Formats: sequence, structure tokens, C-alpha cells
Amino acid sequence: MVCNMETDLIEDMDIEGLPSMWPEDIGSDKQFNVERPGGGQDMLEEVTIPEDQTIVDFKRLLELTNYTDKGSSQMAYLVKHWEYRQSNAVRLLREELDNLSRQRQESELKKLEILEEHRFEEEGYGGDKRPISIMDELSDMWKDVCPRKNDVVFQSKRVEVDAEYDTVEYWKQRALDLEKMLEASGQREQALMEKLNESVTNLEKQSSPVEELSQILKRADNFLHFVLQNAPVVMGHQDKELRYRFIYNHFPSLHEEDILGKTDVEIFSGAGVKESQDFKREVLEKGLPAKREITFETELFGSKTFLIYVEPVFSKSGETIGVNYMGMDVTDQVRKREKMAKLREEIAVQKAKETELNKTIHITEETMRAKQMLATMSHEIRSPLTGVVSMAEILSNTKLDWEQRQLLGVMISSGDLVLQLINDILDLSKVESGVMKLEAAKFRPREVVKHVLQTAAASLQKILMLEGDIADDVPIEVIGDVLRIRQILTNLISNAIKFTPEGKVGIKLYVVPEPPFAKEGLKQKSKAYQSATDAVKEEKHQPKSQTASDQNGFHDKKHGEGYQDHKHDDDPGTPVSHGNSMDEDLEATVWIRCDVYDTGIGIPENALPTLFRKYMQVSADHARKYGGTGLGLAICKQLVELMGGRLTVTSKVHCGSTFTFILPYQVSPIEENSDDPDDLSDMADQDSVTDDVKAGFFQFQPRTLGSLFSSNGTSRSKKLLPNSIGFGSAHKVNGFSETSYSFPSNNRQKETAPLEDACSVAEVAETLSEPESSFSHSPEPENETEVSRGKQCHVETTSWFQNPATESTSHSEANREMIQTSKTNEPQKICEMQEKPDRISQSPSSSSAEVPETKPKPKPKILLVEDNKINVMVAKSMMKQLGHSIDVVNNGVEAVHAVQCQNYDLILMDVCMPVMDGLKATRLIRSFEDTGNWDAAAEAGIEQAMPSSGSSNHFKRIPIIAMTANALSESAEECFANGMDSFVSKPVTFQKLKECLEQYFP
Amino acid sequence: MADKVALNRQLLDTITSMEVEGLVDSRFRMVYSLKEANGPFFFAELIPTFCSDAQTTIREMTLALEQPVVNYHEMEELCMKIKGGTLCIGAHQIALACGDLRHAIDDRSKERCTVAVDAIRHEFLKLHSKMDIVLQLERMIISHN
Repeated sequence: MVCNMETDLIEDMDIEGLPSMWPEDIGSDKQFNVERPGGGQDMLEEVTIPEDQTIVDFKRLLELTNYTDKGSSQMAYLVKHWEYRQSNAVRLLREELDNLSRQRQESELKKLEILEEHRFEEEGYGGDKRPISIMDELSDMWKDVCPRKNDVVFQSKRVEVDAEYDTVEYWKQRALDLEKMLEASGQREQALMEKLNESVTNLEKQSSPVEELSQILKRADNFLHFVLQNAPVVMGHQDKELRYRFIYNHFPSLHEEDILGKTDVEIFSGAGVKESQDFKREVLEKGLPAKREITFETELFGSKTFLIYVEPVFSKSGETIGVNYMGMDVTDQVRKREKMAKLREEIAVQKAKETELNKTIHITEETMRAKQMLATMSHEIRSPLTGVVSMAEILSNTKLDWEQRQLLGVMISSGDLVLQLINDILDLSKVESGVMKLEAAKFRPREVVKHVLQTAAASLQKILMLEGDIADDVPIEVIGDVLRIRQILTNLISNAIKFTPEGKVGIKLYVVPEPPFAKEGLKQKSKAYQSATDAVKEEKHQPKSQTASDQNGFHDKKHGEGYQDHKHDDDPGTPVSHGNSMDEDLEATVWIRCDVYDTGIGIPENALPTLFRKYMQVSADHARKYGGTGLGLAICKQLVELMGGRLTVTSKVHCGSTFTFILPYQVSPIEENSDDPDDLSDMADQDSVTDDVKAGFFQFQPRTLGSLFSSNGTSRSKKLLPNSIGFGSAHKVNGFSETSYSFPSNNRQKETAPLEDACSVAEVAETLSEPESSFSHSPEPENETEVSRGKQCHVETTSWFQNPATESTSHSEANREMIQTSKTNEPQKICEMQEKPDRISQSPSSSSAEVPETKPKPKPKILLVEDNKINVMVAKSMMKQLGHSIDVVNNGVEAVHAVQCQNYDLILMDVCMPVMDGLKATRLIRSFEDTGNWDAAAEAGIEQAMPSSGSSNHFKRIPIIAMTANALSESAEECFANGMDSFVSKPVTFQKLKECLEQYFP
Repeated sequence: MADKVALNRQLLDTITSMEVEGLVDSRFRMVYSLKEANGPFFFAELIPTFCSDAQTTIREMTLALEQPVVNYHEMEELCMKIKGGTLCIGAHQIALACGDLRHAIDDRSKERCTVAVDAIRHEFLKLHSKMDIVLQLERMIISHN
């Protein structure tokens, strides 16, 4: 295509240069009439006009040549000459054009290359793309050429002959013209030549690709050198025998001459050298390149790991003639990699642990939730159960015949049993969930043991000997959670009694040296007691105005002196000498071992491991025969452990069992009895009591029960008071045992005239008005027992007599008398009535020796602190019904004022009140009791209302009973922590109120 | 006198029906029985006191909840107040609703508090109409004395 165009072009120029010189027969129309658009056509038109003339001229010329020989030969010569020049010019031009187009092509190609070089990313290097782009460029070129050609053509092409045709003149002129044209053509030729030269030189000037390439190569070479010099690699070539023939080492530790011609093994030694050698040999043999990581441990460069790449080198014939070897130090990377792997491993372990922990947490949460639910459920069950029991109570107030009363008794006692069970479960879940907190209070172990045995004896239904044996070295007073210890003892004793058909059951108490488990136990214990003991310690430091002179009467000499010695010694850490075997440590902690033994059926050895598990009993048979839930021992064990002790058991079938628990107690260094002068004087009044404090041995026999108990009744009620801080919760915890054991009457009835179980249970249960009626209905009225209940009656009968339901019943004479008085319906008379029942209940028992006990006591003063009007009204009327009138104040501040002005025997304190809540008020009152001044109250912004009257009485601890609608036992603990003595949850029922009052006004 | 007996029976029937409906529990009857020891006006005084008290408390709670920032401490006190009263008189359903409110307060959830207060109000209104009947009867009984 390119060629065609070129020829066209040239022929075009020919026509224009010499239009009239073509012979006619050549057929110019076909050969030269190239049809082109644009300027080309115009040009042809211009040419054709003179052509008509020239054609004519040609004919004439031919004629002329034919005419004159000379002229024609001349002509022919000229034509020939011209033709030669013409062809020469054409050739040159063609060459020139060829050159130019080639150059152009080249440049285009280059351009394209550059373009492609830069755009290789955008458009792929397609083989078919390049030709297309070239064609496009060429068509462009064609356009460029056209106008240039025009320029050239039009300037030199005016062939005009003025002279007349075929004259000499004409020919001359013609020849001249032609000569000029020739000259012009020569000039053109020369110009073209120059251009040609120019382009040739240009071409020469352009650098050759070889040079460029060599430069690039040089650069690449430099670069490679640079890379090699800086690369942390070792390169080498080893021959067939693995001798180094070439080595490049960036870190040369050896000179080349040390290496070349030697093998690895010859150069250095150590771990890994042999391996690399073997590896290279392997590659050599296999003929396949391979990579391996080898750790060297050489003297030369220490411990280093190299990544080695070895490839075989082949000769032209395909034999391996050696290996190329490249090594790279990857020690750091390997180290890092190992570290990473280790870390990953650790992370994996961590994750596994985490999931494990999460699982555990989940399980724990579930368990806690389950326990919480159990507690809530128990609580929920308790609420309606209270409803049932209280309904039954109300029912028992109504007119009932004897049988109905028995049934009702069963109902109430069963309800109480269920309550007890639920309390057990709550206790257990409390201990397990760690909510249980221990109280630290002073108590007398002897008394505790005695009371436990007493209460157990009271409900004894078999002929058993109950013994209590307390060693002399056991301190008279220790600090611990008396409630829990009682609970444990009661539980163990009742168990022992339950499983002992005959023989004896007893408790033995003695001091032991610190047991081996004490270390860990101590920690636990100290944690549990922490807050409580602090409070007690503080108390200890308070200066006491009373002297302990009276005490000596109650203690044996040794102990008394011991305490006296330390009386002025304020350091609580000083060990107290308690005589013989006591292991004295810095904390004045004494470890007391308690054995609860029996001569019962014993426990088979295989049952021992599961004995302390929840809901576990030795066998199903036992459960059927003896009843129970199997919670008792589990609770005991947990309680003992909570207190930092151990509970163990030894047993022999048919011979008996011994449950042993060892507990740490704090010894109270200063006798605190002086705190309560009333209490002391009361105790002093009763000679029988004096021995109790130091008495080491008690025995209870069923036969002597009655007389024993009657004497106990008084001492117990008096003495319990100072010890039983938090007695209300005692009722809550082992309320059933307490209440059920407190009346020996049923026992006697049972013995003398055995009734069915229902009867005795009904009697056990403490119901409102039942005593009188039970007396009247009981087959054999027991005066003694009645006497023991006398105190109770004075409250109970009151409420009973006031009950309208009793109006129509006919009971004893005394009852009737009462009814008449109550019928008057006048509130003022209630006070009177209140005292009456005492006398009335006395009357049948006039033969008894207990006359002084039934003396009418001064009415206790009770303060109710409550903001809720409804509560006030209801509580007031309930108290009224129970025979007490109360003072009412509406908040803590008023309560403090009231206490400042008057002496109260009991305060019922709502916890949640405006202005000042019950907890704070209690704290203030307690602080007054401790310090004897109202400074704390003044600090709290309460000015003293009046100078307090009867200052000596102010040191008496007023029992404060919390009343709260927040029935959770946790808040009970909060109450105790703030100095309250017991806790009644709202709504306050008759039963609860009565229990409380009984505790404090027995 | 026959009237009085009938009225008494009617009153006891009403209380029984309230118990059956679950509006009150056994406590209510017990409180009623307290009247025997505390004079005839006891119950007739107690009920209006309770009602006005509860109304006031509910109003205060509603107001407290309308505040942009709820004073939960105040709410707690109010809740304890109304709960104490209802527990005391044996208004079982309200006491239950109070329990819900207590939980809502513990969770500091205003919406649930509002719902619980609404429930308390609802229960109170239910109880209030019954209480009115009881009060009417009680007053009639007193006037017969």
C-alpha cells in the first residue's frame, strides 16, 4: 500500500512537471488520471485546460520532427536527456521518500513502544493491536503529504510559450523554458540531496540500540553488584566433590583462599555441617534443586540458622558437574518464628483456659442462680406457708372442739416443720453461696451445752441419760457465734437421740492444742469473723464503771484471778492463762473440742463417706424409720467449716457414734458480766444458778425432768438474755427446736398417758390460746408443768380471753371469770386483765413451790418506731391485744428523743423511715449505751431533749427489734450489724410479736 | 340486733369474697379481728387512713416519675411506705405490685417503674371500691351499736 501511494505521487508530479511532453498515445487519461478528492481535482482541471493546447502542440512537434532531422534529433536528445534526469530525480525522490517513510515508521513504532511501555498496564500488549495502530498512523501521513506536494507543484509549473507555435522563436523559447525547468529540477534534486544527507547524518547522530542496551546492561550489572554486595547471602559454586570453586560471602569470616578447593567439612566443624554436606550431595545425586533450613552450631560463627538453596549445575552433555549454593542467615527469623509459635501455643492454651473458665463461670453463675432461685423459692414457699400457719392460728382462736383442736395442732406443727425445713435449705444455700456471716458474741460454753441438753431432755420421748461434761480448762466465756454453735449442738444431739434407743447421749467439751488444719482454718475464720470481732474488741476497750467484784462469786478462783489480772490490761492480744493444757497463741484463741457421743445404732463404715452429704441418709430404711431430710449433718459440717473448724465422726455399729468438732474461739480477756448489773443481781438471787457458771457436769434423766426443768425455767430465762444477742434469729434458725422443746408438758403427757402422736405434736406447737383448753381437756392435768408455763400464760390467756370466739366456750372457772371481765369491752381494763391470768393460771398450781415466779411484774415499756400510720395502728392494736400498751414515734430522730426522755424495756424499730432510718437510730442509741453520752447523736444533729433520768439504767442495753418489709435474711444481718437484737419481718403476725415479747419479757 | 348480725355476716362475706378474689389475704381478716380489742372504731378508722395514705403515696410516686430525672431514692422510700401499709393491712395484690416496683427501682428502670406504679394504682382502685363497701358496712354496724 505504501508503495502504491508513492508511485501515484511520483507520477502525479511527473504530469505536473511536464504536462505537454508526453506522447499522445500513451493514454494519459488512464494512467495519470488519478481520482483524488480535494485539491487534486482542482489541480487536474488546471492542467487539462492547457493540455488541449499541448496536445495540439505535440502533433505539430511531431510534424516538425518529421520535417527537420536536425531539430528532431536535437529534440530527441533533449527528450532523452530530460528523461534521464527525470528518472534520476524520480529515483532519488523515491529513495528519499522511502527513507522518510521508514523513519516515520520507525518513529511511530518507537512512539508506540514508549506508549505501550507506559501503558502496558492499561492495555495489554496485543499482537494484533500494533498493526492496526500503524495503519492509522499511515493514513495520517498520507494527509500530511498532500498539501506539501501542492506547494511544490504550483510554483514552478507555468509553462507558457508566448511565441507562435512552430517557429524558431517558439522552439528557442521552448528550449529555454525547458532548460529553466531542468535547472529547477536540478535544484530540487540538490535540495533533496541535501535533505537526504541531513537525514543520514541525523540517523547517524541517533544513538544505536546496541549502545543503549550495553548501557542498560552495565547498569543492571552495577545494580546486581550492588545487590550482591549488600545482600546477606552466601553464594557459592561447588564442584562434583563439593569443593568450593567460587564463593561470594557478604560476611567473610574466612579468606577466599581458605575456602576455595575445600569442602564444608574441611572448612569448619560442628552441628549442621554434616547435614548441609549431605544435603548438597543429595541434590547432586538427584539433579533437582532443593531448599532446606539447617541450623549450624559451629565455633566459627556460633549458633546460626541458614536457609540453603542448592541447585545442580549441568554440563552440556547433561551430567551434573557441581552445585550452586546459596545460603541466607535466617537466625532471627527462625527465632522470631519459634517465639511466634510459642506465643501462638500460649494463646491457644490461654484460649482453652479462657473457655474453660468461661464454662466454669457459666456453671457457677448457673449454680448461683439456681441457689438464688432455691432461696427465693424457699422464701416464696415460706410466705404462703406463713399464711397457712397464721390462718390456722386464727382458726385455733375460734371455738373448736377437742378433736378439731388436735387436728389443728397437727396442722400448725406440720407447718412449722415445713418452715423449719425451708429454713434449713435457706441456711444451707446461704452457707454455700457465702452469704452467711458469723456473729461474734461472748457466750458461756457451759450454759450452751446445758441449754442444749435441757431442751433436748424436754422433748425426750425415751429413757435416755443426757450428759454434759465440760473440762475445767474450758474458759467460762468465749467469743464465737453462739447461735450457730447451738444449732450444731442441737442438731447433733437430736440426731444422737433419734438414733439411740437406750443408753446415754452426751456432750463432752475440752480444750485441745491447735490442730494441724488450724493454719488454713484460722484464715477462714478470721475472715468470717472479721467485722464482728472488731466490734467486740472495741467494746472490750470501753471503760466500765462497774467493778467486777461480784463476779468472783460466780467463777472458780483460778479463773477469777486470771481475769482479774487482765482486767486493767488493755491489750486484748495478751494470752490469758487458763491453767493447764491450753495452747496459748498470740490471738488468745482457744481450740475447744466437742464430742457428741451416743450409745445408739451406730453408722456402718460404708455410709461414713456420704454422711455429711446433702439429702443423704444411711439408707432408705433409716429414712423411713427415723424420718428427716438428711440436711442436718450437711448444715452442721458447713457451719463448722465456716467457723474454721472440723467436724468428724467415729462410729461403731450397735455401739454408738461420736461426732467431734473442733472449733477455735476467741477468749474474752475481761469479764463482761458487770455490763448487766440487773442480770447479775437476778442471778445472785438464785442460788441454784451460781453453780452453773462453773459447773462442769450436767446430767438429765427423763425421770427427774420435771423438777429439773422447773428450776431451770427461771434461771434460763434470766440468763439467756445477756447472751442471746440476736435471739430472734435463733428462733428463725432453730425456732422449731426452741419452741418445741420449751414445754415439757407434752412430754409428761406422753409418758403418763400416751396419746397418739398428733396430740403431742399439737402440744408442742406454740399456739395462741391452747394452754388452758389443753389443760382442761388433758386426761391428767399436770400441775407442775402448768407452773412452768405460767409466764407464758399471762400473755397467751389474755389474748385468748379477749377473743370473741371463746365467749361461748365453757372452760375452767378461771376462764369464765376472765370472759366476764373481757366482755366489758373496755380498753382500760386490759391492763388489769393482763395481770389476772397469772393469778388464774397460778390457782390450779398453788400447790407448787413456784409462787414467787408468778409475781406480777411491772409492765414493760415498749416503744414503737414506725412512720407508716397503718402499721402503727395495726401494731398498736395487736400489742393491745397481747396486753401491752406502747409509745409510738414516727422516725429515728424521734426515737432517739424518746430514749433520751424515758427508759424503755423494748424498742420495736422500723428499718426504713424518713428523716432517720432505724439502723442509724439504733447505732446512736447503742453508742449512748456504750459511752453514756449522746455525743454521737449530737453529731448527727439531734439535740438532747431532756437530761436523761436515772443514769444508771442507761447503761442497760435496750433490746431493739428490727421490723422491716424487706424480708431477705441479708437485711437481717444488716440489722444485727447495726446493733439490733433481733429481727421481725413484716407483716408482723401475732406469733412473731409474741415470740419477741416472750424473749425479752419472759 | 338481727340487723347487726346480718350486717356482720355481710361484711364477713365481703371480706371472704375479697379473699377469694385475691385482693386481700388472711391478714385483712386478722386486722379486722383486731377491732375486738381496740374498740369499734378501729377498723372504720383504719380503712380511710389506709386509702388516703395509699392515694397520697401513689400520687407522689406518679409525680416523682414525671420528673425528668427520677429520684430513685425517693421512689424507694415511697415504695417501702406503701408496701409497709399494704402488707400490714393485707392488701395482697398491691403488695405484689410493690414488689415489682421495688425490682424496677433496683434496676433503675423508669419505664418499668411507671408500669409498676400503674399496676399499683390499678390494684388500689380495685381494692378501693371493695374497701368502700366494707367501710359502709362497718359504719352501719357501728351505728347499730
